[in-house]
Amino acid sequence: MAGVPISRRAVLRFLGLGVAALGARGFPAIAGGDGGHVVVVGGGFGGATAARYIRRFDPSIRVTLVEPRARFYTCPFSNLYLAGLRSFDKLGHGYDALRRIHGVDVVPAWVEDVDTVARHVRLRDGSRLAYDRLLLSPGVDMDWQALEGYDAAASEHAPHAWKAGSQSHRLRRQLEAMDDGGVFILSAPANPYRCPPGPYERVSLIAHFLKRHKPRSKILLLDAKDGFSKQPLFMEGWQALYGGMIEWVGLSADGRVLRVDARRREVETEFGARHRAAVLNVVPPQKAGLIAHRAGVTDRSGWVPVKPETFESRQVDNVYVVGDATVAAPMPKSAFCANSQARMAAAAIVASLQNRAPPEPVWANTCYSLLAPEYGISVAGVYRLIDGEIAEVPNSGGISPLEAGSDFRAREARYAQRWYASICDDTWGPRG
Amino acid sequence: MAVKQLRWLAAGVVSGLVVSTAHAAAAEPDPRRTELLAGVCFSCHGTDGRHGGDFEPLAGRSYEALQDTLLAFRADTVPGATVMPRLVKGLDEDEIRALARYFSSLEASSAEVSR
Repeated sequence: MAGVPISRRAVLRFLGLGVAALGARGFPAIAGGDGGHVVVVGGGFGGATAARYIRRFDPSIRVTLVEPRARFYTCPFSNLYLAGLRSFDKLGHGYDALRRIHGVDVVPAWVEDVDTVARHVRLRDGSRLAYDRLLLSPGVDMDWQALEGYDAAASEHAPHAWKAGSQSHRLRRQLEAMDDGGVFILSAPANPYRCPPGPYERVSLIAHFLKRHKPRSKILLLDAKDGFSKQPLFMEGWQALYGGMIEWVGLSADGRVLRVDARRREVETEFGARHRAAVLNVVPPQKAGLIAHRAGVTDRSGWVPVKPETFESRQVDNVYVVGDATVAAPMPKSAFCANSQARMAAAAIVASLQNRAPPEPVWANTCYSLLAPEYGISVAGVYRLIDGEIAEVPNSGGISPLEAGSDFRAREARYAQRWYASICDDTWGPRG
Repeated sequence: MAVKQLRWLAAGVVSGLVVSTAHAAAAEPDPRRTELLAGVCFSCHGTDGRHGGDFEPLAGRSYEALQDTLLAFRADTVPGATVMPRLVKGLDEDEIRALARYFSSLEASSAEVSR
């Protein structure tokens, strides 16, 4: 300890943090500035969390969050909307609290390009924002080249609904219009993709909807892999709740969809089987959001390799990336992980601007899935750096027990609701 | 005031805990370490552990209650526990004590989310 120098300025900054926190309720937030400027691109779970926590950790740092949409609609809980169990509006979160309480400068704009040498981002209107550090939280884009017959135009007929928005509305309308006795088909991709248990929660909640309103209907889940997140729990729950309504076909049983005819709502699998749906939901392969490619931080996989200790790009200095766009396995592409990575990256950015070493990281994940409104299951994990790589802490984590009672499942369903409220609060501040 | 004392004071103000001798002896003690570790809890228990609902609010509970509960989760002796045993098994006992100190040092109150 004696060998570690510490500046008077750093001490004052630490002390100042406490004062600023006390002042948060009654006074306008300090905009900051002399501690440097961080530009954050993307206002989802990763970006909004990072913006907030950079300001919390060092209010002298100016933070500009660039996000084109006035409200962010979450993928978590959008399956409840599809099943008619939650209003779409309740998935939306605005940026007023980030502005008002946390002093983040929120700019409603689309980032067109990044110049990582001159260190500025260019907005669609041509203006530029200079940065000392850049954090990208671009989420995913659908990979329209990856699945024959499935592009943006095809998704008008066979929605992916893998980003909450117009695609969700389209799929919801199709489900409402579907005749009783129709077949709903979901095509699930190989790993990695956003929200590993998402397809399975989706068919569960759609089964809940169909069982009540169109009970003669069937669900076919065609899968490009042979195993999936929380599989034994889903299988157990499907049997208990929906009998034989959901049929899952894995890779080895010819579940991999190779071609889509969206207008006919028909898919063709690897070995040539054709399946026709009343409602076809294609969750295609994905890649990092566009701005990550523009910034030069993606590799040939289409995703973003990062230095695990900081989540700074392995390829470009001073650019940090968090959330679904990154290669962070074994951490899944989940909202919880994006929030966890963003808090840690915020601390790393602050340390870097203060010429300090980054803190030792620890991340966590908890993913709840709802199989019905009163039936929840979970997977949890704690992650650390082990031999320089992200690894799950041995003998920790795991999934809910099999054969648990209905009380247990109901409790996890309530926890899922509470988790959603808490993480959204931690990300965007009080709902406004 | 000596630099060493200033650093300890700063650590205490920021994270509300007294850095243990073991931690202080490390090459680069970081007062933010415990706050970041606690961040793992925020996603469910609310920022700074200040939300209630079905999850226990953590801020302002006693050190002993927090430590005992976390150790019990870790030992699998809490009947009907759901995700907590799985998560706490990812922490060591020093970290459990640091978390107990952190949350017990915070005020319980505040409907408003703190910075």
